[in-house]
Amino acid sequence: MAEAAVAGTKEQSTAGKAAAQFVKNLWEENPVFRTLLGMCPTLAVTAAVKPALTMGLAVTFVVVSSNLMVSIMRKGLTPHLRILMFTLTISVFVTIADLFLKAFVPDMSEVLGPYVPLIIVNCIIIARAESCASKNPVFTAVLDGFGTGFGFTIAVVILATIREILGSGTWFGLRVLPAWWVPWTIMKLPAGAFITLGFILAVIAYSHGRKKAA
Amino acid sequence: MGDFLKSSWLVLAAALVFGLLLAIVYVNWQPRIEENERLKLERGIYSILTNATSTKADTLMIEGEETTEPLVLYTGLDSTGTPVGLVFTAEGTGFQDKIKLLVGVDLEFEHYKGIAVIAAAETPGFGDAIRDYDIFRCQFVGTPVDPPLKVVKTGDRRKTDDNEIVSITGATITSRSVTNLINARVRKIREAVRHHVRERMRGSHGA
Repeated sequence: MAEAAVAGTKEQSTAGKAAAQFVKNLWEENPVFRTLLGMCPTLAVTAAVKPALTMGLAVTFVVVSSNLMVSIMRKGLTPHLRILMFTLTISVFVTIADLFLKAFVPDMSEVLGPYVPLIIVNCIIIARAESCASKNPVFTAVLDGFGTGFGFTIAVVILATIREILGSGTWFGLRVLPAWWVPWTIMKLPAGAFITLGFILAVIAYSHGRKKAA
Repeated sequence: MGDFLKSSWLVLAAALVFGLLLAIVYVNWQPRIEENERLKLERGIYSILTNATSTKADTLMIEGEETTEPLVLYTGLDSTGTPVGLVFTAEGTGFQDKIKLLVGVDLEFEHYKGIAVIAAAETPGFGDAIRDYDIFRCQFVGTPVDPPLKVVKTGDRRKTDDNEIVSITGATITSRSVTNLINARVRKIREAVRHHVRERMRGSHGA
């Protein structure tokens, strides 16, 4: 009886911890804005919201699946084969994501081009495999994957929203700014990505600094 | 051997499982992917040959200096089955990545019927305007194949009875690469088709 109660609280605390980590990954430890990981897709596919959202969901799928697999095999991982296993796992799910986009959303697959296969080298995913999934039970790892994936998606969609509105006068392909608006072409170019990201990071760092001081 | 298996069983097992998983996914989705590509090609062909209702694909061999490459030539047919034009692919280097086009010509290779972009990763807002009909693609409708197309920086984009293609911007990289690759490709294919026709006529004479 007591044993069951202990196990119950233990389970609850793992669930609580997992939930806390999920929320933390969304914003406080946002992979893009706070830990500055996965900068390549963040900068490359955020010229418009649609491809950014697609990329965000693809990364979510890969990070959740890879966290799940890594967590399942965590007991068998030996230190020298760790990275190999992570890469193997990640590349499988990236290939599946790539084929899925090609088969069901060909337009997006074309826009994203090489950036889908490049998810393999997205360090957000390998970072979660190493620091969370390889040390935690499946439930925690999967929830962590969802938190990270959604955190990444939120970040790229914010970036893409700013860039698409200023650069094309549209949001999700729909016109939002009046016709007299002269689109800032630079926002669609790599320079626009760096400028936007820089501003967002500055604002977030500033607000964090104030919170800490308070 | 025991040591080897002890340290690598997980890699072997994972490779097996993942390999199987990928094979299943691939077998299930590959037909769809091929279908998507075919539809895209078809849409491109119909956007060029606007009065075509069906297409016919022929494969010709182009004899190069070193290799012989197969060429797929699409013939657009109208509702009565009369050929209305020919479409072929053309590929070349753009500003950032390869540009892949469909080029349409009339049956005599005298005038262009139009172009369509299959794949391109040109600069957004500049080079990617090759996809835009009013800015760029309209200039290839009815334009003569001879003399070769030439890129100019200013001019009337609507005027298509001469060989001048007005570039998208003053920086002519994408416009030039598109024009050059069309010029080269159309001549190569015209030569191949004429050669093919001559061969066939000689063949029928002999028989």
